[in-house]
Parts: sequence; structure tokens; C-alpha cells
Amino acid sequence: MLNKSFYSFLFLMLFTHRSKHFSIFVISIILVFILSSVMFISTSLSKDIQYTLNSQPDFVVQKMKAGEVIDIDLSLIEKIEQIYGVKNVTSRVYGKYFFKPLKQSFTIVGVDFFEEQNSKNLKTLSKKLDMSKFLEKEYMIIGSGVKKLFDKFKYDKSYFFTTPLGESIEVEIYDVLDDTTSLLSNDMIILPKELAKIVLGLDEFKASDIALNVPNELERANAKVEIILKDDNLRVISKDDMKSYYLNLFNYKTGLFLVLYIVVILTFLLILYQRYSMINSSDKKEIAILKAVGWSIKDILKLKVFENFLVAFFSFSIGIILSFIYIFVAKAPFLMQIFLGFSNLDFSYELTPYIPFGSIVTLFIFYVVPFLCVILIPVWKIATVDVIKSIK
Amino acid sequence: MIFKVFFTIFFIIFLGFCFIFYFDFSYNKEDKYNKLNSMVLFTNSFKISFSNAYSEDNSQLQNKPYLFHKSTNHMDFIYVK
Repeated sequence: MLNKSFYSFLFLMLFTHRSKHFSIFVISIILVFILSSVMFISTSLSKDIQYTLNSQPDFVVQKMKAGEVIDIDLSLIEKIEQIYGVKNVTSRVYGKYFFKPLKQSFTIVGVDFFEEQNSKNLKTLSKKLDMSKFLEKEYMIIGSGVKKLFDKFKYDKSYFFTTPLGESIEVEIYDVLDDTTSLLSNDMIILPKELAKIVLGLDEFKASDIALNVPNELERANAKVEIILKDDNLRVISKDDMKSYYLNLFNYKTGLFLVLYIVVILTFLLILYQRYSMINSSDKKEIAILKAVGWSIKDILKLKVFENFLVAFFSFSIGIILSFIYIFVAKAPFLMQIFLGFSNLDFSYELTPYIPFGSIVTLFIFYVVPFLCVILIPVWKIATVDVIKSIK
Repeated sequence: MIFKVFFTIFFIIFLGFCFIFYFDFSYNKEDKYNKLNSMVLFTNSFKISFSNAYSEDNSQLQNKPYLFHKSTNHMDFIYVK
């Protein structure tokens, strides 16, 4: 049955019925395009987060008061350092800085540039870095979103920060971080730690919170309990908490789209079923003629399966290709803003291309199988009707 | 003629998938992950630049019951004491 003349007949059928298949073809492309776009963007972001979160400190210790995070005393660092198995205890200085002209906030991060490890990392991030010049005076490094905003308001070389005490401090821009890291650095201004404290209004002997590592995995649970017992109202956030938090966030957003997709695909299948249930007389005649010339029901079903499989396959493939181009080449306008917020600074992030084979195969199965089933049932019903009746 | 049309469609789809694989293969992922990791190590923090309208950030993590958190059991607590 599956010989050359069968395929010629199959393609001929598709070609003659092209207007009939066109609307289904276009709707299918749109459906696959939307779902695979969401799938591509969420897997790419999740992968980026998974790879990056491992560099995050194992624990972050925050001081709480009345359910709010408050500044933490630096004297706690010494106490934490005494705990067995704890390494690299460092204070972190960060906070939001309100940018009045646009009523939006930047994230200010204080970094100790004199630390050897930090200067190494900075060299990876900034290609034109000249460390001796950089350390001569207090410079800042800004994210690409901040740069765009500064350019708009003509802060080309420096910016005047206003401290909570009402003083004005001018800080020169040294370099701009590129788009590859803008997932983390888009609204970021990196300042020397002491200067960041002044801008954020932090006390000299205080920090935003404390970060630490516990290299031995088996000691982590104990270290956590011991840290909590060091002082009142301490909150310890582990790396695992952060991981599950961020992944849940993206899974939640993908899930939302998935629910919408299920509703849409069910409606689509219903329309498809109705359309094939009301097959017109010419279609009935066609099936009857095939039966009259000796085709069995099985052969007719085979023809219909192939015909509709080709439509589904073409639309699925084109949908996937278009969504890949939209997400990774065109940088996902609109959809990116749904995933990463839209009222923030202008965002341009280069998504890392990642092909989730498992998800694509699952999508293919969940799309093509119901598609074929919905079409086969009415066709089978007609194919079993008596030939004479159908032709009449 | 009809065959030609369908084979052109097949060929276009094939080229499309080739482009996807080429784009995925040629992208310098290692350099990007290095940069992202350096960013996290450098600033010692991991905060995705969500919009300001969002209040979802690390500080919103729920304050879990520390002592009996899933990674800590009752015995650990007694041991520490």
C-alpha cells in the first residue's frame, strides 16, 4: 500500500484540499509558536539560574525586626567565624537607590575591590579594566539598563548621588557591564563598599546582611542551627531555598501558560471535531469512490492519517522554528517582559539558546496524537457507511 | 510539480532545524556562564532584575521554622544544644 503511487495520491489530495487545510495549518502554527516560545524562554532562564546559583554563597544571614530585614551588626561576623566548618564569612552591602527623574530604583551593591578574588572576577566582567587606574579613586561600574537611563538624562561621565543625610556625592562611571550579564546586572550600580554604605545610609559598623560558605555538605544543617543560636531574630536563607524559590517562580509562570494552552487546544480540537463531523457531500463521495474502487476502511484511514499527520507535522515544525527565531534571535520582545517584569528599566538580555528535547517531544506527542484522534473518529464513521448510501 | 512543492517545504523545515542546531552549537555558552558566575561571585549576591512593580525578591522568602527545617532534624538540634 505504501508505494510511490500512494504517496503521489497523498500529496495530490493535500494539494487539492489545500484551502481546507489552510486555516487549521495557520491556527496550529500559532498554538505551537506560543507554547514553544514560553517553553524556550522558561527553560533558558531556568538553566541560566541553575548554573549561576551554584556560585551563590551557601548561606545568607539576615537580621529581622518586626518581620522586616534590618541592618546587621558586623560584630556577628567574628561570632559566626568561630563555628566549625564555616568559611568565607563576608558582609554584604546592597540596597535600592531611588532615581527621582524616573521614579524608579537602582540596586546599589558595595564591593571590596581590594580583595584579590574580587579583582579577578572583575577582570572577567570588564575587558578594558586597568586595575591601578581603577583603584586610584572611587569609580562605579553600572549595568546596561542604568547606562541607558543615565544617557537619557545626560549623566554621561558621572552621577551625583544624594545620601540620606542630604549630601551630594559625585561618582564617575568607569565601565558598563554588557548585555550577557544583564539578567543580574541590568539595574545594578557597583560601588566601593565604604562609598555604598554612605550612599545607602548604612552605619560604619553595620552591613545589609552576612554571606558565608559551608564547604562540607554534611555540616550545613548543623551550621545553620548554630548560626541561628548566635543571636536573636536571625534568618538564615540557604542556597537550596533560593534555588527552589527562583525555579518555582518560573515554573509558576510556565504553568500559567500551560493552563491557558490546554484551554485553547481543547477548544481547537472541539472545532476540528465539529468541522470533520460535518463533512460535506463531496468528501463523502470521495471516500465512497475510494471504497468502490477497492480500498478497504483501513486504507482510507491510513490515507487520512498520513494527510493530517503531514499538516500537523508541517505546522508543528514551522511553529517551533519560528518560536526559536523569535526567542533567541529577536530576543523575545513582549514575552521577555512578562517573564522579567515590564515597568522596570529598559531590559535587553541575551537569552542562552537551549533546546529542551524532552519538552519538544512531549509537546509533539500531546499535540499530534489528539489532533489525529479527533480527525480519525468522524472519518472512520463515514468510511463504515454503505457506499451506495454515501454516493446518493 | 506537487512533489517539488512538498519537497521544498520539507527542505525549508530541514534548513530551519539546521539553523536551530547551528545557532545552539555556535553560541559561546561557557563564556556566558563564566561571566554570570563571576557576576555572582563578585557582588556576592544573586538578584534577578525584576521590575520595580514586583516585590518578589530574596527578602520575600518565607521565614521557615529554622530548627525543624527539612535539612535539619530534631537530633541535630539536640546535638547542638
